[in-house]
Amino acid sequence: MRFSAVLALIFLVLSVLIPSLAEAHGERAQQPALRMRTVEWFDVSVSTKQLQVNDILVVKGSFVPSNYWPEHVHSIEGASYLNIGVPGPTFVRLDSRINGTPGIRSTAFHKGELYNFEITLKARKPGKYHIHPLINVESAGPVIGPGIWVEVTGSEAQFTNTAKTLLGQTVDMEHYNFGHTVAWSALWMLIAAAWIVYWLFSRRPLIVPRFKRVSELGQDADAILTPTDRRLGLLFLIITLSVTMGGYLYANDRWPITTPLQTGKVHTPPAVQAPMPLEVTMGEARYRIPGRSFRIELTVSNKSDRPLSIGEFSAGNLRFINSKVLDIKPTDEDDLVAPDALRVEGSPIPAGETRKLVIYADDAMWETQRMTTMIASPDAVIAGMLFFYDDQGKRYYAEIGGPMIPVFG
Amino acid sequence: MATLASSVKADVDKALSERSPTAPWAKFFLATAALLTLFTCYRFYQHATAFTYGLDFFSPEFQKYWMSLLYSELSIEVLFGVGAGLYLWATRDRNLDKIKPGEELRRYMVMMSLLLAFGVIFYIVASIYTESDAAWHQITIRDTDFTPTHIGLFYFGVPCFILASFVAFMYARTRIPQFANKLSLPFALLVAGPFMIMPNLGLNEWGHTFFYAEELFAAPIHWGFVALGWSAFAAGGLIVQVLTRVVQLTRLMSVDKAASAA
Amino acid sequence: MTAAVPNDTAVTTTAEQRRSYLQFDMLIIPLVVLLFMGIFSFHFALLVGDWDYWIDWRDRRWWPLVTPLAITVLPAVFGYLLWDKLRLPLGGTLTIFCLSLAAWISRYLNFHLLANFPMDMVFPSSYVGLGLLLDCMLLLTRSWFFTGLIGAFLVGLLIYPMNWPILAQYHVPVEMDGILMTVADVFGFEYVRTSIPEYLRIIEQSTLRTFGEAVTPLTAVFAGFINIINYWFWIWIGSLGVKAIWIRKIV
Repeated sequence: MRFSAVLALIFLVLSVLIPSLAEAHGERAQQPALRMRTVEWFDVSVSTKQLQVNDILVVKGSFVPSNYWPEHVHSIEGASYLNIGVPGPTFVRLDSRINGTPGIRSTAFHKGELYNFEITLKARKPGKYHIHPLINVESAGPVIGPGIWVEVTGSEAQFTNTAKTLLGQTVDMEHYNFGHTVAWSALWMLIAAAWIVYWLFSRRPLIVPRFKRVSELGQDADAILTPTDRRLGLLFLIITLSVTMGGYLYANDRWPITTPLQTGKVHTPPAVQAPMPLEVTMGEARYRIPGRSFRIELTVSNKSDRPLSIGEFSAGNLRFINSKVLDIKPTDEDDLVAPDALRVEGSPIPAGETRKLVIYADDAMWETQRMTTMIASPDAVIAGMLFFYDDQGKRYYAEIGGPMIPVFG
Repeated sequence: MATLASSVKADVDKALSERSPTAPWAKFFLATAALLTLFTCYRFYQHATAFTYGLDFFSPEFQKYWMSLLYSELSIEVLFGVGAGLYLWATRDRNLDKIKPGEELRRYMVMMSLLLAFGVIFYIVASIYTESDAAWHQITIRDTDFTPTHIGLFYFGVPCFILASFVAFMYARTRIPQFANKLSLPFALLVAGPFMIMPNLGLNEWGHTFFYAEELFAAPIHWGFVALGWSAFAAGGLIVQVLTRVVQLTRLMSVDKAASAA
Repeated sequence: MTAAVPNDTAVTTTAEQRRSYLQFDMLIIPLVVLLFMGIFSFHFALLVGDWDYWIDWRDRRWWPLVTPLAITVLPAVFGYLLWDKLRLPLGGTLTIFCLSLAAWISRYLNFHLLANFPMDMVFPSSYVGLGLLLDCMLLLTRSWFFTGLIGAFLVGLLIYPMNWPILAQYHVPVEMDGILMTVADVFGFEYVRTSIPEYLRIIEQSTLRTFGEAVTPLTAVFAGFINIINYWFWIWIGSLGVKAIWIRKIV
């Protein structure tokens, strides 16, 4: 116990000395096609950015699985799970809802459908964390959403977490009957240790003389065994069987009501999407590498009765904002928002008209977030979400996608 | 007369027993203490920097805190391996046919203490470092082969026990007659199996970035490592080889003679 | 292929001989303990792994089937060495004792201190009694055949009841968001594992079609049956492992 106390102390000292902030979650390593063509995340927010151990943090947002999901990536329509990207249980997850359906079990999400999520977390360990919502897709791995920095202060030792069983007991999740678990494990280890000590340490020297004697005896090597050996064999067999059966009966008596582990896949109904009175098709999309500039031609039909402007283009969690329409600032130094990086030619689109537009998404983020490696993809197709606003600020969105041509000069 | 004879005999026995070899325990414990310190320091470094600078391969901090460590440790390992191999070969015993039984027995003890040092490293790496990798990858998102636990496990720990088994093997090949004249198949397996873990990493990483994106530890993609770990099942053969020779080297001639006379 | 027996010897008195023997005890016993701790941990991590790491993986159908198959390998392989060459019935107990010791150390250092999970979610199960069954059976029958037939069968059969005193408390039902869960499931949901989503759990998804709730005993008997053959197979591998083979060169 003293050893473990010393270890814990050293870790504690180190964790105080070294600033405890956790970095982003490696989304930059994922191929750009995977980032742009899997899940379109938007409106991701946290309820607070400063909290104490035991405080509640709610992570909210929406996502639409992309219609341009790559053929070579296992589909989100198979098995998927809304998760949270924090380094280990620095938070515990008290609740998770997708369109109101509990996100405890695995589910499937459908391409082009809207899902609003809300994850309730309770802070467990102090530190600064980059919190991402993410979706684990079976055989495809994690699809990561936007990250937001959150700082937790306080003491980990103060953390509490309980659950109430259907039998009315309150369970301390941090130390649930752990003394009982250790005692039971230790009992078995002691019985085994007695057996090992008898055989290894009751005769010295052991190995060489025994090896020599067994070799000499050959077929008759069993003669080396003594009656005491055999009697002990029988005794330990009886002890083992008795402890096993006794333990089983004791457990059945102490916990008479148990259920098997619960699993299964649930259906999560998509949210009802407001009608989108517009149609968008993507024409030519060229990415100019030296200028870090994406030029995309669009044909937009405005079927609403108000003029529409493009306020934002979002691709692979990078958000390019048209400052003439929207005033959005990054929430922290790692928020991938370029507040004035979207230039639109031909906007706004008058009500009832179909127009050709050109958008330019120009920002160094393409480079710093390693999206430019899209030119190394054998499937040079991009996708992204366009957000339109009418003159009253009402928002509509539409996903675009198609082939991309790099411009090298 | 009888008293004098027994006193002389006691003196001779004492002198002889002083010559009877023992394992180099002082050196062994010193080396073990050094190894434990090294692995403990590494572990503290990992604990302190894995969550802070080890989550994003493309950040400058990752390059500073982790990639520089990777390059340094790989260079040191190659230098140590080549150096130790060359030293053991250059200082090999060229007169193994003239070796006395006492010296041969001592060398067996040295070889076994080298293997024991290998055992210390092997335990730390195969259990603690391996499961730190399991724990880490199950709570973070992998973005490189060179994750903080991989840099500890595959590029530090595994090479360390490969080097330790290689040193013990080379020691036996260059200094112990039986192992110099013939090749012990179990010993060779014990060295080759762990060594093959390094190339097998190719399958692991290729698979993880291509067809198996999950971090389930018991997944088939990891079974190549298990099969290579099983090469340690040949340890029994090596122990039998050692014990057989030790029995021969520690016979009591007078007892043998008495037995043959009878 | 072994070298000729030397004409000379390294020892002249029984005291010297004893001293040499003790040296090899001090070298070989710790060596096998460390090797067992290392090899068994590695083997078990990569074949059973998550079933033993997480409390919400120890189900009625897969955990008691996968675990005995993996846990019998080293007791059989090294049991052959220890019994055939030394007549020590320790293969089961010593190897599994080493595994358990290494597992407790690793869970504490890695899953608790490094990854921050509470110990009551990630402690290892109790398996060492299974090793005792194999060893006692081998000592009493002095036969690989009967040890496999009875001992290895008991390993498969008893793994679940042997752990039930610890596991039962985790199977107490809980209601969460209108869904039936067990305490173990609550651990799995609440303590976030970023790369272990719920669908990755390989656990029982339905009861057996016509045996209803008799999943546990039926799985136990099935595990026992396969484990008999499993034990015999690894005994054979163990008999190959102890061969003192010398070759002329690497071909």
